[in-house]
Amino acid sequence: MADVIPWTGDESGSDSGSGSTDRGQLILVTGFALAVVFLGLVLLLNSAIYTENVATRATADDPKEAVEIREESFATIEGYIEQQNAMLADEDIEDIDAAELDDRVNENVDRWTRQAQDRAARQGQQLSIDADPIPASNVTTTWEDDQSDRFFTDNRTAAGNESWTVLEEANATRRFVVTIERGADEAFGSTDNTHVNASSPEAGLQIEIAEAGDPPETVSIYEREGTAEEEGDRYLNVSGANDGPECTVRLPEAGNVTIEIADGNGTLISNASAENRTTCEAPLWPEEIGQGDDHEISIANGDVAVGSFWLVTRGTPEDPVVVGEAEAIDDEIAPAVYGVDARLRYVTDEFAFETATRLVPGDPP
Amino acid sequence: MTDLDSPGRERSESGRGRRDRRLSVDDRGVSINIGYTANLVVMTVIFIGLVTAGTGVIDSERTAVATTELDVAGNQLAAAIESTDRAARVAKTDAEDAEDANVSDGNYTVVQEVDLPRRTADESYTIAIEEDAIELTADDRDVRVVVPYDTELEIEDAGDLTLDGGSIEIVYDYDEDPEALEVRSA
Repeated sequence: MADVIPWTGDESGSDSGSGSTDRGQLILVTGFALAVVFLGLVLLLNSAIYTENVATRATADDPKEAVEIREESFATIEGYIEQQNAMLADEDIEDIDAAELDDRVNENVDRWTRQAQDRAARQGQQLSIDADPIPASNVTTTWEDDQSDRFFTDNRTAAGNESWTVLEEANATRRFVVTIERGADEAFGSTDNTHVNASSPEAGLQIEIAEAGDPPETVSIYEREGTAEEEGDRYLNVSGANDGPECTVRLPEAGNVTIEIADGNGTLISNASAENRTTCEAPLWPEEIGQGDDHEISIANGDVAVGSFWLVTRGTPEDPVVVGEAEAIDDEIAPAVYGVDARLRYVTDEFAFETATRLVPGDPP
Repeated sequence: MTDLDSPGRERSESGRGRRDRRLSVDDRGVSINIGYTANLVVMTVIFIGLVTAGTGVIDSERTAVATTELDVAGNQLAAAIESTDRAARVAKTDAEDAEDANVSDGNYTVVQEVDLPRRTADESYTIAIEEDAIELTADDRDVRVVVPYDTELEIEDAGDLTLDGGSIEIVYDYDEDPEALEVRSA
């Protein structure tokens, strides 16, 4: 045991001094050991705190932003095209050539692209957008007028030719829209609710598409009565040009029916509010049509229905569109921008996104 | 053994006057040397105990920190893979539409770089990309974290792909493989 008897004599003795010194050394060493332990813990905790900070930091979602910029850019370019086409609707197709159409599109797209690039640069992003108008000579768009009882004949009257040629030569018809008007019973001299005066594909309003040298393929529109299993009384049927299943939509008591056919697939819309919409599972338009081969578009049985239609087609500078010689066409052809091929490139310090697409405004998605 | 001739002993004797040197009346338990040695031993035992306890605490904290860091890194990588998948699907759709329209002028690529820490808790780790999850494993510690992910495009070589921690690159190129993302070290 240690000497614990208090020393009352010479205070300079080493025994008492060594005891307090030893205790002091013990405290000192213990302090050093605890300091080392605490230091290690601090280093580890610092790492954990840093990790938590990094994990909870708000990060820039570059892929999401790139996709949003793509959507915005392409929608804007499509808007410019539609705007140009609306402005061109009243112009004479003879006065506009392809180069002028291209210039009109490029001017608007370039102006918007510069603004978008400046905005992106301020946010540390590199954005590059190119839009090249699809080469076209002249483009045919709608013929619509405000007359009633407009049959699908060559002169839009009941006495016109029921079978006639709309386009004698076109390179790429990418959309065909037919609107069947209802409430025109007087046109057929009947009082029933039939507005396509045909109840079979063979007798229905037919749109014939023929590629050079090939027999025509036909899209046929007719009405029928509802079956026992169906809820409605009247239905509109559209048989496609590929012998696929027919597309059908229930007809309400009133309201027009619009058939949109775009690049193969079709959509039937009954009523202007488009509440009753059917998307056809099978393509209605002939496959591969309009991919560069000349084709002819005709209408047959045009006296079985009234309404209007419009289409978008194009030729090439070497092969311009040749429209039919029907009286109905003359005043309704208008030049238009067919579409553009757009390329987009979006780059940040950690992300790069590049894509291209053909923008053809007006086509259903 | 008591040193009867030590100076301290003499001072003790002189300070207290003459003291009886017989062992039977010696009221000290140990000598100075033994006392000092005992102090050293006690200090050493205490120090060792503190270090051992501290080491255990540090080790458990390092494991917790490593687990947390691997979890964060795994989630960052999974989020990057999923967001790249979304952008890649957009590019893929554009490419397919272009093919349908016989338009061949365009590149369809997506590249995302993710900066993950090279070491966690001062230890290296490996990343294994499975078909529906990312496994991060510390090299020198029994720590393994699994983070699930969900993509529509598949990951190239998923199941056999192992990477080291650090910068990771996620690449999509429609021309090379339209249905897969490639994950590789940057």
